[in-house]
Amino acid sequence: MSAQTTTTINAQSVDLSKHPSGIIPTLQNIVSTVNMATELDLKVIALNARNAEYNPKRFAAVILRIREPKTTALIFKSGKMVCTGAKSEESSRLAARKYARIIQKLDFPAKFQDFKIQNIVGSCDVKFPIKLERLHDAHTSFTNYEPEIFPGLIYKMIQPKVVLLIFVSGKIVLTGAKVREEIYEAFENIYPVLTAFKKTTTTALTNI
Amino acid sequence: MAKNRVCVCGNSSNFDSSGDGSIVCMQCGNVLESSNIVSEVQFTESSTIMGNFVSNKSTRYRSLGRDSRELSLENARRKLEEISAPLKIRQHHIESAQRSFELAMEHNFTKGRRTKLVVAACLYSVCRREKTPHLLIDFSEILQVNVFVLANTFLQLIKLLNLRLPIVDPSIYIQRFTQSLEFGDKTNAVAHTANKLVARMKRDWMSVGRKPSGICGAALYLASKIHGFKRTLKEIIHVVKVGEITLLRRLDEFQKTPAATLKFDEFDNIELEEECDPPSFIRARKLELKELKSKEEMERKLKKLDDDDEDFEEQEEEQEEEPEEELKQLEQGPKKKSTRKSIDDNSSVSSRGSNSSASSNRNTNNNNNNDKKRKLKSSNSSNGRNSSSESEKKKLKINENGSTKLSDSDDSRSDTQSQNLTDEERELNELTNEVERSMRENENLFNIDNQDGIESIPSFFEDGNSLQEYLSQPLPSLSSGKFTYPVLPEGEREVDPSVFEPNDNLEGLSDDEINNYIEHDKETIKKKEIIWTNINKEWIIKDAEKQKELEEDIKAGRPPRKKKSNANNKKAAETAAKAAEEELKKRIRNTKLIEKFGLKLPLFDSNASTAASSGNIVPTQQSSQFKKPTALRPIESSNNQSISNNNNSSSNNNNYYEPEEHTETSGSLLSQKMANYDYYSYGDDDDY
Repeated sequence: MSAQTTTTINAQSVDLSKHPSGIIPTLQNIVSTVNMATELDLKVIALNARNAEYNPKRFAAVILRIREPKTTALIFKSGKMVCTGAKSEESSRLAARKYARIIQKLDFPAKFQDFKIQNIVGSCDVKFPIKLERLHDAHTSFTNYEPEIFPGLIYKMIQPKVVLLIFVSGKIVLTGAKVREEIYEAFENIYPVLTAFKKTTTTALTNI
Repeated sequence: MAKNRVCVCGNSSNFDSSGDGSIVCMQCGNVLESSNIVSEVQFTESSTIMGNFVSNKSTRYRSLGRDSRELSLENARRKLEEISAPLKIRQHHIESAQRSFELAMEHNFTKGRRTKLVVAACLYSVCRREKTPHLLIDFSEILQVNVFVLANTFLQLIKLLNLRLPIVDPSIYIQRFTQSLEFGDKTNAVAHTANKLVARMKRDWMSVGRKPSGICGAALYLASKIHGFKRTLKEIIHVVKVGEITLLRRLDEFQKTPAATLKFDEFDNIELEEECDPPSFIRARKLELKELKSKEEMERKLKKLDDDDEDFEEQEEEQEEEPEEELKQLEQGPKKKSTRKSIDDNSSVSSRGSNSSASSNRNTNNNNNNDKKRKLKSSNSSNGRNSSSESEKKKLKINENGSTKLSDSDDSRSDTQSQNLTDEERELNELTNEVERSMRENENLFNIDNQDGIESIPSFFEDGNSLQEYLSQPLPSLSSGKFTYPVLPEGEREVDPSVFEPNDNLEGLSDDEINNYIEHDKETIKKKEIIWTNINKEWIIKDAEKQKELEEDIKAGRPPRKKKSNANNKKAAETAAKAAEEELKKRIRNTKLIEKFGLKLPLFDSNASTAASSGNIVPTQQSSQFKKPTALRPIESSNNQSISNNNNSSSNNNNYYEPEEHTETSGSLLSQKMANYDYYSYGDDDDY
C-alpha cells in the first residue's frame, strides 16, 4: 500500500483523448506465469542459486529473487513459474526470461513457453476526499463497504472486469486487469463517479 | 385432562390458559407455563395420535431423523443458541437468523462451509439489519476463528442473499461499551458525552473507513477522562477490542481537529460549523507538500551550491536536528491560531500560546510528533493521568502529556524554536542535507555495484585508503560486471506487442549477470546443503516415505493417489478378513462402539482382531469363533468379502446387519441406534 501515487504528470504530457481525467494510474505490480516445460529438482535450485529460498514445509516452491528488474519468482517442481513484482509488462517478461535462463544455467532443459500476464495492479490519487458511504448506497450492486473488515470500498466493475479499492483519502487501487488498457479504462469509467461523490474541501487545508 | 396445578401463591383453581398457550395464575400473575403448543398427547377413536409432544426448542424431535436437511437445520439451531447466548441476542433475532440459514441452505450455501461460520454470518447479518450492538469480532471470538475467515463467509452470504445492510454506526456500540466499563451511576453521562464525541468525529470524517470500535474507543477514553474516571488505554482496548496503536491514532487524529481545542463546557454548548477533511486525506496532502518542498529546495540549493564553496564539516553538527524540525512544522494541524490564555496550568486545552506550560511540557512533548516513540508516550500519559485525577471533574482537564490532551501545545514550542534559528542557519542546514543525501545516494550506488559482483570497492576502503585515493584510481571497467539493457521510457507509452508472445528462445541475456545469481563456490554449496538438510530433516524423511509409496503404487499398477490421510491404513489388506475389517471400521468408525454393541471382531481371524485393538477378546472365543452361534458371525469366511455389498449376498450376510434378531442382550433399540448412528452421533461438528 505504500504505493507511490504521484501520477499527475504535467497536463501537457497526458493524452487527454485517452485519459480525459488527466490522471494516469501508475502500474505497481505485474504478475506473469511461464511454463519451463521440465521437471525440476527444487533442492538443486535452492542450493545452487544465490538468492533462493526453499522451505518445503511451508511452501512447495523455490522463491528466487533478482535485482534487475527487481522481481520475485516462485518456481515449482513441475517447471511452472510465477513472476511477481515487476512494474511494467516488459520488465516482467525480461525478469521471467532471466529466471528461466538461471534455471538453464543450473543444467535443467528449461524452455520458455506459455508466457502470460495474469494480473496488473495500478494505483493513483484523485486528490479529493470521497464520500464512501454515499457511493456505497448508490452503487450497492457493485460495491462492498465494510469498515469493520476493510477500510476501503471495494468496487467490482463488470466491464472491464477490474476490481477497484477506493479509499476515503482519494487513493485508488485497481487490480485484476490482464492488460494495462483495462486499468486505464476502469479508471476513466470510475472517475466521473468519484467526482460525483466528492467531498467538498473545507478551508482546513489552507492552514497547513 | 387438566393436571392439578398449584401456583406459588397457593391458588389452585383460577388459571387463565386461553390465548397464546401460556398458563397464567389469575391471582398473582405468575406465568406457570409458556409457549406450550400441546401439553398432552391425545388419543382419538381411530388409532392415530393427536399431536406430538414438542418441547420448546425441539432438539429431540427425531421422528424424521434420517432427513439430513432436518438434521442440519437442527444442528444450526443448536449452534445459533450457543452463539447467541453469550452475546445476549434476542429470541426473535435468532429466529430471523434461522430463516436466513434456511434460505442459505436452499442455495446450497452451507455445502463446503463450516456450519458455525454460516450460522454466525446469518446471525451477524440480522444484528446488522436490526442495529444491535454486536461486532463481527464478538462472533469470531466465540467461535474461536479468525475474524477475516468469518468476514469472508459473511460477505459471500450477503452477496448470495442480496442483502442491503446499513453501514455500521459507531454510536450504537457506545451504550454497550459504557456498560462494560462500569461507570456506575455516571454511565449515562459518560455515554452521552461519548456519543457527542462520536458525532463530532463523524462530522470531522474520522469514522469513514475506520472500525466503529476504534472510534468508540477513542470517544470513550476521552469521555471517561472528562468525567474524571481513571480508565487506562488497556481497559478500553480490552472492551472495544482494537489495537493500542489504532486507539492512539484515533486520539491523535481527533487531537488535530478544531473540536479538540474546545473546553468541555464549550464542547457541550458550541456546535462547530466547520468540517474537517478525512485525516488520511490530510496526511496524503502533507506528504505531497513535503515532497514538493524538498524537490524545490533541492533545485534551489543545487544552484547555490555551484556558487558557494563552503565548509561542510561545520554544518554537519547541526544537520541532525533539521529534518525533525521540518517535520514538526509540517505536522502542525489544520488549526487556527488561538489567542486564548490558559486558565489553568494543568489544562493544556488552552495552553497554546502560553509559554509557561509549554516549557514545562518540553521534555515530554519532544516525543509527540515522533511515531516511533508512541509507546513511551502512552506510558508517560498514564503516569501523568494519575497525578491529575484529583482535580475537578467537570472541567476538561487532561494532563500535560500528549495523547490525552484535546489540543497540542507543541505548536508553540516548534514555533519558538524555529524562530530561534536564523534564516542563514537554516539554509546551511538544508545545504548539508543535500550533500548528505547525494552522498548517501552514491553510497547506495557503490553497494549495488558491490552486490553485483564488483568486489574491489569495499576492500579498497577496508585497507584504510581515503576517498581521494580511491577517486584517483582508474575506474573498474563497466563491461566486467554490468550489462546494460535498453532503457525503457517511462510514462505513457504503447506496450510492445511482442511482450505478449507466449514463447521465447531466451537469447540476448547477459551471461555475466546471470552468473552472478549462481553460486560457483563448491564449499558454500556444501555448507548450504548441510544447513538445509538440517533444517528440513522432518520433511526429507516424510518426502522419502511418500516417494517410496508412490513407487510401490506404480509397481502395483494403482493410479497415483492425490492425498494421503493415513499412510498405514491405505496399505493393501493381506487377507480378505482384514479387508472386511477395514470396511467395517470405515462404516462404524469407532472401535469402542464395535465392542459396545457386540460387533466385536471375533468374527475374523485372530490376526485381524488383534490388529483392530479389541483387547478384551476371550481366547475361547477365538478358538470357537466359527462354532459359536452368534448372528454376527458370517457362516462362511467367503462371505466376508461381500459384506460391503449385502444386496446380493445371502441371508447370512443380512444377519450381519441385524444382530438384534439373534443376540439376546440387545433389543430393537440397539438396532435403531446402529442404523441411525451415522446420522446423528457424529453431527457435532460436521456439515451434512
